[in-house]
Amino acid sequence: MDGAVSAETMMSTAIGVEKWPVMGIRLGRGRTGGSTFVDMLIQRARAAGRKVVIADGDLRNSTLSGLYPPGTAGGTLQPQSDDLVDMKDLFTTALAKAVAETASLLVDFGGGDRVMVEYGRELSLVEMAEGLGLVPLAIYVTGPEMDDFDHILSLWRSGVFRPAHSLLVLNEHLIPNGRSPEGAFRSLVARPEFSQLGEEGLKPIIMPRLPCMSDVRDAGLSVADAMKGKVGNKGVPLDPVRQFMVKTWLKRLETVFAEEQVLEWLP
Amino acid sequence: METDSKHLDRVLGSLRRSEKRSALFHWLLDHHDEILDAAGAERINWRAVAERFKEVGLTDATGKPATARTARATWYKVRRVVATRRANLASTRPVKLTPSKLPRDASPALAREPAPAPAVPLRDAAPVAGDWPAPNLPALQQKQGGPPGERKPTGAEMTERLRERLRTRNY
Repeated sequence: MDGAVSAETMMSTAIGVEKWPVMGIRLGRGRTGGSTFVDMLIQRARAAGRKVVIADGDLRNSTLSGLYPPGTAGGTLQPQSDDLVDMKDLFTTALAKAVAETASLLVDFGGGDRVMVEYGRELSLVEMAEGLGLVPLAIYVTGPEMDDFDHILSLWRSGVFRPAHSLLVLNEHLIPNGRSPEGAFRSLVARPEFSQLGEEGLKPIIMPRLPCMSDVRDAGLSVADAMKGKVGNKGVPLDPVRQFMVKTWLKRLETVFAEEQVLEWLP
Repeated sequence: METDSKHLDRVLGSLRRSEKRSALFHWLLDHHDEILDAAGAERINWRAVAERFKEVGLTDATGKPATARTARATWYKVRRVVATRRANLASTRPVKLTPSKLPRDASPALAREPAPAPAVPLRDAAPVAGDWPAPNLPALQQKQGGPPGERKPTGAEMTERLRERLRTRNY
């Protein structure tokens, strides 16, 4: 019967708006801006009406748990402790929840990559995600520091998580004051390993700097809430200029995603 | 009687058609390009697709009617298989010609101009939602106005593009 049914006929009523759920895991050292990137992805997906389960394994710097309090609707899932067993349990629980809800999963271990290494030894993360109907996405975040990049290089080469959709996010926010992006990242980009990673499927993109990021964080606001003028923990919204900065920053990111043709990869 | 080449095709076809794969997998594989064409700029509604698969009896690896989830997962596998096959094909070294074994009147085929690559779709450039900022479309269209291509850029090309963006702060 295979040949008797044309694809056009089969698909003619089936082209709609559904998007595949994604299993996005942020890897890399802590404090490289990964949580900010993940927060933006969460808000972006939810703004489009897509469900996202969030797992925050970073107990020492739990940015996501601050923005999406555990126990609330759409809140983060957190581990009991940063013991390896609890972290692995968090990942398993979050993944099961995402599958049950046909939602995307975004995981931020905040530098706790040992969980991924351990998990990767036991199971193939890519195959597991695909088998469960989620499209795997790796999010490696780095600043211009060589140590950050070397950590990513080591993780990538370990083969723990190398899906077809893999992003290397160069965070402009980590550039020291007074340095240009070109100057700050020059040494890193010039390394032969950088191009080699691209050859192997790790797509480099730039996360532009948001000048008022510290104000957004101090107000305890997610980027989307800051843009919309919601009231933060100081009892007032960001002023209109800063709201505009956030909106411009999100627009720049959307343009980066579109230019790099990675929109399909995102939750 | 079956010719040698047809026989060979049939044998190779059956080799390629692993029994471990489901009917659904093979159907999606056979219609890969048609499906992409049909989907065009839209996303696939797998719930609706699964209903159609059920109607025509396409089953998953366990012989059960495909669900939206299995259909979607299977399609993802098919896309990877096709991408890998095509990448392997593209990287296959050309067959070495032996002039002495060619017919006396053989002549090289005329080279044809390669077909222009399709424009990179801007389908995903649409805003995520009403209040979510849209990408800078005019700038994007201008940038994509050059020679686009489906070819995956090399690592060196990606690095060069990134270097240029960092230099010009064009991001």
